[in-house]
Amino acid sequence: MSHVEVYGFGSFFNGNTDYGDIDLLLVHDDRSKGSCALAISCKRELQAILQNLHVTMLSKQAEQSFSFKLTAQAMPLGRIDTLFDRRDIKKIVASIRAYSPIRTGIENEQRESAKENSIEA
Amino acid sequence: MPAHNSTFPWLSYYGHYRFFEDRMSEHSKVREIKNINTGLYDVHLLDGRVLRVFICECYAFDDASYHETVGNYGPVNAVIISSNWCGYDFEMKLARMKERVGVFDIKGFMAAINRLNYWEYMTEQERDRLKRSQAS
Repeated sequence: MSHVEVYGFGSFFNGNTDYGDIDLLLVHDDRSKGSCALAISCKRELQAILQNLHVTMLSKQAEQSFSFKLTAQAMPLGRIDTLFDRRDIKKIVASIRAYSPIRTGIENEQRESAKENSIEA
Repeated sequence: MPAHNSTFPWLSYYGHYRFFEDRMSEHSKVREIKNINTGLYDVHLLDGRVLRVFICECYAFDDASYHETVGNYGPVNAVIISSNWCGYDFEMKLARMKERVGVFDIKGFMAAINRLNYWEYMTEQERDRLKRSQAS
């Protein structure tokens, strides 16, 4: 089944309080349009919740070609198997926020939460 | 790695692409360059061709980034990765070449527009890499 692996790298994940943005790497299965589309959707979902996300998307093959994870010392945050009900997205957001719960786009998250509550109501 | 801008279209760290604009203005084959949108330019060549070019700074440009670009801006003739600390995937470049879309750094693009089939331009290193992969 198609999925996206999510990694964090850069100053935010290295504990630097003076970070500019939150760098994420999304590694998806292959170069097919379907796999790329899933990565793009995951990127949009994450950016809708968290502010200052800088997202790099790479197929597994390209990631190996760049040795991106190794070079950037990327840390695994989880994987997204489905965008249905946003369960996996929420887990990734929680993983990111565990690094710095104070400064990770709380405003966006509150807006999203309010949106969901109004839909449920 | 100071590539910047959190959302599409990965605007330059400095907020502009002046270096690219200056190089284009000086190029002997370029009549004029028009900024269409953030990171999107129409490069008018002296021979009448107009190339729609997307320029960006992102750590690593791959197929998904390309599809996202086209999804946002429509078809482009070339993609330029602007800074030294960023790169593009070679296999993605080969895939785009089949679609007549060129993928370059700024220096590569400047060389590429000297030829008719600009999308086929490869650096010497890329040509060697292709030869090696074809030989194996």
